[in-house]
Amino acid sequence: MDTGRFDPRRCPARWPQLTEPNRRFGVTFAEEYARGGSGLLALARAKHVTDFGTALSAAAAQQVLVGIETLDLRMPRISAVAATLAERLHGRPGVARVDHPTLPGRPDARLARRDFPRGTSGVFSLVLDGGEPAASAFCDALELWSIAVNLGDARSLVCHPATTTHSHLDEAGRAACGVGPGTVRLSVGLEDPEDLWADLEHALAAAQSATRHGRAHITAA
Amino acid sequence: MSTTAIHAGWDAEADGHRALTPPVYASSAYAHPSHASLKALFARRGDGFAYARSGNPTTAVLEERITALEGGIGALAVASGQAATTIALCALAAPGGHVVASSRLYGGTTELLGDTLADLGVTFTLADPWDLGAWEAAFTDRTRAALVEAIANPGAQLVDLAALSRIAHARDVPVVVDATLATPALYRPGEHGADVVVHSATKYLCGHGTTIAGLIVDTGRFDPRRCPARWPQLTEPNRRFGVTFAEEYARGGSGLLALARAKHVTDFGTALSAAAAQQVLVGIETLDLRMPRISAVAATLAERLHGRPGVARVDHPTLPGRPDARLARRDFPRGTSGVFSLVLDGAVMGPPSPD
Repeated sequence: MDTGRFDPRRCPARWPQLTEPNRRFGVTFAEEYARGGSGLLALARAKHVTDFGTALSAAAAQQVLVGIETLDLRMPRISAVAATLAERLHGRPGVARVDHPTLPGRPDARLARRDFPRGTSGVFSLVLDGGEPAASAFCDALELWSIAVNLGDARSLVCHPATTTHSHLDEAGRAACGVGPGTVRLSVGLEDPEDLWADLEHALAAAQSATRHGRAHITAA
Repeated sequence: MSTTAIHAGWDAEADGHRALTPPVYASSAYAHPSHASLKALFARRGDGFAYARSGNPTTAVLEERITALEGGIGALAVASGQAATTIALCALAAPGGHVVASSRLYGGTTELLGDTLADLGVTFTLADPWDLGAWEAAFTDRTRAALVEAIANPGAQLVDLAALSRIAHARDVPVVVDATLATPALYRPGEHGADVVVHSATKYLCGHGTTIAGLIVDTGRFDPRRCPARWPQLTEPNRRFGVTFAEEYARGGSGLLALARAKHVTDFGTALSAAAAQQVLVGIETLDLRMPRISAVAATLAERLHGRPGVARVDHPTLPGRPDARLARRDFPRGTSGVFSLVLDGAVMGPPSPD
């Protein structure tokens, strides 16, 4: 989506792909702006979508259209449930940290209040004491939350970023994203919030148990 | 081939619900039974699906089916024919490689070479595939792929793929063949020397104009381990993915397609949707009936048009005077597909005169 702010004609030498005549297509894409259109998107559609072959199918577009019809209902609900779950997890035994913008100590709490009056969406992370063994036990113990690498689903999803979504980064790259071995990412769905909380509580107990057993094992060794 | 076209890649007995026709798996993500299961998949130590941007059970059926039809070792389904060409050439030649390309390609492919692939550091030389001397002269030390259409669009010119491949293979350059017009019902490029086959499955494979789709097939001839220094993207450990893609060959798979799936399909975001894959699968079921019929009708119409008043020329490989008539007889016993061109007399450029 072009929001209409960018105009390459302000610095034409910087954007020759838009401001100079394009030999292949026989047009100057920046001329679209004068017609109220987007030169950037005209270029992207003519060249990049065509050459990379990445057009969206009509069937897929229709499913997104149906999804958008309930967007205004889903987003405040999902944001509110996520904030509630984050607050309940915050300070619980076995939970080293909860990463959610509305929690105390977050430098972006001010931005949440200023720029996100309807909520900050349904994804947040928690860092478990006990590193990957605890995270692994936590994920495996969840019954309602599914172990899957997606977010924004009506179903609640959980994943361990260090070994999945961020596994191809190096340690420093993961650290820059705030992803450690004990980090677990939650994507809150539309299920009953109390059902979601009960499952999280049960999984926290499993994570703590795994951590205790792991320590006992190390001590015994 | 009709048995393969209907059955390859799907075993109803093995499906949990015994679905007879491959279902559309309309799911972006796949739930894993444990943390260890998903972790193994990301570390490339497990089979299965995680996220449909790099594969989906329905597209996997299509990949298996086209692999069987082409007699290859693996296939990759992508969002369009253009994506198939772009990704095959990127995986082989980007950045900094050179492509020898037929001077008779679909216009969009030549545009792609001159614009977006040039942005990615790939250079190219166009050469007439009917002039073996010119074809040979176009190769350089940097050539990493040769690209030709099995049946050219729009003039239906055929190529002596065995001869073109010998020239490329003598320089250890893989040959990429766009077999969109041919389909495996008429011609299997792998049997004539192709290393990689690309399809716009939108056309004859789907057959009903409903769906945009592309396929890349590895025929099993190309082995980067023969000239490892030439293909570091395959033969050296990949830091991002923690694997050496060429190791796939030792397991009977395609290192080239493993790289393309992990890197190019993921980064360009060109995965094929399950719904689109299922429509192509349905189309393929009738491919063996459609292609001989369409070829025969095209040949009959071309013959009737040939020599008619107002028709300056008809471009069809079975007509008198075509140098590729010999190739049509030798390599295309079931026909040369349904596309041909005619040149009309009186093609005056510009607007008609007032009178």
